[in-house]
Amino acid sequence: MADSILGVPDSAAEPQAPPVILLVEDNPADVRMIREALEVTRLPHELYVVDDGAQALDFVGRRGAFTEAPKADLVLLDLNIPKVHGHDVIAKLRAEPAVGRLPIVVMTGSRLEKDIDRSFALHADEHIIKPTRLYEYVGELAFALGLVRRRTA
Amino acid sequence: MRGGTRLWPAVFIGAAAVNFTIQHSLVAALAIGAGNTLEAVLGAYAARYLFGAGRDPFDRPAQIFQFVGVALGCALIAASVATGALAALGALGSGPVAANWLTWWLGDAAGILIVAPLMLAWTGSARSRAPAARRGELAAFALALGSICVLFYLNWSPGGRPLPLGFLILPLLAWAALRFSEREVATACAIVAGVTVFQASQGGGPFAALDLTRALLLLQTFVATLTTTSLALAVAMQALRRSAQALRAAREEMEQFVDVAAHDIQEPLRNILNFSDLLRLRYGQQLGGIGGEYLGFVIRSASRMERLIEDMVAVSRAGRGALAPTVAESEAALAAALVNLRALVDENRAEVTHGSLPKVQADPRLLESLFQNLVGNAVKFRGKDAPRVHVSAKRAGEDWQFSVQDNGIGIDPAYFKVIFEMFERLDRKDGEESTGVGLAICTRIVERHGGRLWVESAPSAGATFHFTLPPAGEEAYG
Repeated sequence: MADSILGVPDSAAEPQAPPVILLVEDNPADVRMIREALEVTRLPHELYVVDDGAQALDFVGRRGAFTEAPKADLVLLDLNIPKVHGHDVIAKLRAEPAVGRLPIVVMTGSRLEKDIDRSFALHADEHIIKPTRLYEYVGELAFALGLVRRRTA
Repeated sequence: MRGGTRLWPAVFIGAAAVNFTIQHSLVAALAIGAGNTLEAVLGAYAARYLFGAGRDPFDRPAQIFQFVGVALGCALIAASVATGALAALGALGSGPVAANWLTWWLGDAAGILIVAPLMLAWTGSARSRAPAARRGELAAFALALGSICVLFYLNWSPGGRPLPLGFLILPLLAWAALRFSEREVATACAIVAGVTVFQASQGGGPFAALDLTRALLLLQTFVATLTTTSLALAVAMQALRRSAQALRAAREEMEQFVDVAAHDIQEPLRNILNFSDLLRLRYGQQLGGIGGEYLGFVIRSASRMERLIEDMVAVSRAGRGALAPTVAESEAALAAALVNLRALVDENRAEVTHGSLPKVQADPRLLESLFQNLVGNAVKFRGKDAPRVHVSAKRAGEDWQFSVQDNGIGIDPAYFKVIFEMFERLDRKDGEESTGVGLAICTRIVERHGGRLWVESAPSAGATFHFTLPPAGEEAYG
């Protein structure tokens, strides 16, 4: 964790800062489940939750109500969210040079092939269909956290 | 009929004027006009009563025959009023009144039967229009109709007197009824009627052998019969096409509903399973033995429901969507299926072998799913011995016939039909793993490729499932 995702050295005072996860999810049950499953992974992380696409863009861009927000290291993104659809969030984030390589993992209930294809066409790192079992959730989230380590290594 | 009953004064004036200008006295003309007007008004009322105002009149073949009844009834009134008036005025000249009355009646009815459908067909909604793709066929039909009219109605008379070959038009009208719509049928009938009447008035045509009055009578009956029969056929075909269309639409709607419903059920189910897992993880100790058992039932039931829903979606999808038949290596499809089945195969120490397998014309993903279901079943329904499954293929006429043979528990022939139905399981030996839709999916996949799936088996003698697929290199189908 010596470098941030942009290659700018983090302050030496916090070499072990846990990765910041931004969860974009409007379903409270899913938020709770993902929070719990992340804990079960026992991997260090810091979770922030917003419940619509517009807030997600503001958080990552550290604009509006989120000027004080930490820099996100990983975005977990539902597709059917209010205001800005998940796929449009990916497109907008990928278009910003400052956040271009930020790991984005779609986590959605949609099994539609067209949704999956679109996620990858927009360069999401992964499209995960929300698992039905806890151990699957834990595995998927551990994988997503692994993306941060790989990207910043 | 379309104008409804409000137009009667116009009809009255028109009919009276026409008759006045032809030959009759003013009184006679007024009487005939009154008869014709009464006919039209009654016809319009009857039509509205039978078919409903504003709708397309001919939805069912029965309506054609009701329409014939109306036409005969209305013409009867007009003919009676007119002949009666003329007879009373002594304007009929020589000849029996009855013959005049009969000619008038049938002539009038035939006129209605030919002209009314023509008007209705051409002024009705465009739904009965022939599709553009049939333009060529329509041209061929017009050519054939013209040829028959020319050959048999106008000129052709071998050895002097023309033969009554009017029936030759029947297959042509059947063609029009089966392939086109009421519009083409009514038009063809009108053309035939026009040509026949014209020829008869010139002393020629298929009925020239008879004297004029009898020729006219026969001709009118002939034309009315042609029109009625072919229109009934056309309407029946139209109704058939509409039901097929409605059936397709209903099926599509049903399958979409399955998709949406499945998705909506999956979400709460996901929460049940996830939070049950979490409950067991975090509070398993407190729940104790019995509480843990209860929770186990919840999880197992919810898991089973999840599989049922997934299979429901799989069945619905196997039967629809764009089939993508390409040249598929059936050996590769089997290999892919075996990768998915590895856990099951290893667990049962099963031995799966195969002969040389051909290329076929099929959707590779569906073919893989087919092998996965059949080989999976062959392993699951095992006997005491380690399962041995053999997949082979041989030519069966044009097609390839595949066989998946096992040494499992076999199936009593009494159950051959039942096992291909949805959600049917013969025994619960396979427990929670199976939902009983596998073979239903297989049947749908094979049938979508134009093939057939069947089974040969006996209890404790193993089972062999056979299916056929078209060989590679055929034109696309489906």
